[in-house]
Amino acid sequence: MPGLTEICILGPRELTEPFRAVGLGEARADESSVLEKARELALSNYKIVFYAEGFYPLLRDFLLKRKGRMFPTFVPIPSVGEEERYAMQRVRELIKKAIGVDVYLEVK
Amino acid sequence: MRLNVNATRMELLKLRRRLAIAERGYKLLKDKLEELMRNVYSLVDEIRDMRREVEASLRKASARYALAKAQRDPKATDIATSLPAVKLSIEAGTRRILNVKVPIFKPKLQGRIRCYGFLETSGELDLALQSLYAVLEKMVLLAEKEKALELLASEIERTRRRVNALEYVVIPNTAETISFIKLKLSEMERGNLTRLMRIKEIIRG
Repeated sequence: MPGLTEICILGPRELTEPFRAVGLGEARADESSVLEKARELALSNYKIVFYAEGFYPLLRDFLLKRKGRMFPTFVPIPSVGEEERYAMQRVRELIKKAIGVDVYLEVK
Repeated sequence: MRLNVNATRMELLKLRRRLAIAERGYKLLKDKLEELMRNVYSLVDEIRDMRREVEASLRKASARYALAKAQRDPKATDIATSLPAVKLSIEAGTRRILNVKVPIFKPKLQGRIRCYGFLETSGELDLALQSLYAVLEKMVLLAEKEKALELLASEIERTRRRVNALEYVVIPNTAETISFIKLKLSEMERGNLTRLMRIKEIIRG
């Protein structure tokens, strides 16, 4: 419920349920409704929106359009049972854009 | 490419001033770019470690939650988690890194996570919620860092474009125009001198 907390979790039921129990706002969505939900959340009072990384390809254009905006901050988290690595891929894209080379996996 | 200006002394002075400003701006922007890069490098290190940690914890918590639902009646688990007694709020603000506004989040957790009866729920649920509760602060911090990285990356791209424009377009074009005006003016001066000498000769002759 927007307004009660300032962090929301956007994703399928199995991902959002445990987060609801620890006090996060919940926005359930599937592949067909995720973009609409994300647009709604972008206009809400939430400061951070964690979304299932499986939705990253669907939200990519939407996120690109609002990349200069500070709040809410959209951050991918791993989906349940899947390992898509979109979150890592997103970070690596950002690094490549900034530095010109991918230094994410370099050993320290 | 030469700029389309009149070859006059006024223009020469103006262009010289512009060139000096462009060179100073170029140096400043280059310094800014280096500093932004340094900031990005340190952020990358932090994000890499933090994301690995957060993802591992979340996967573990999700698996435990799934197990908790499988061990007992899923509806009972649903009911147990549907009315949380814990409230998570964040204090959101901004700070500046080289004039780039980046967010700061300070999470505040209030209340207890275990607000349900233990009879109908599995012990795995307690563990799942406990590990989620423990990782929340790191998730918020990760959000802060990733947003900062995103904003810094955009700023680096913008600054790099400006540096390149100054380095490869503005400075060479201005320098070329200055040297063109200099040549043109000295040519005009030589022309004047020759003309004067010729007139002098005619008058004497």
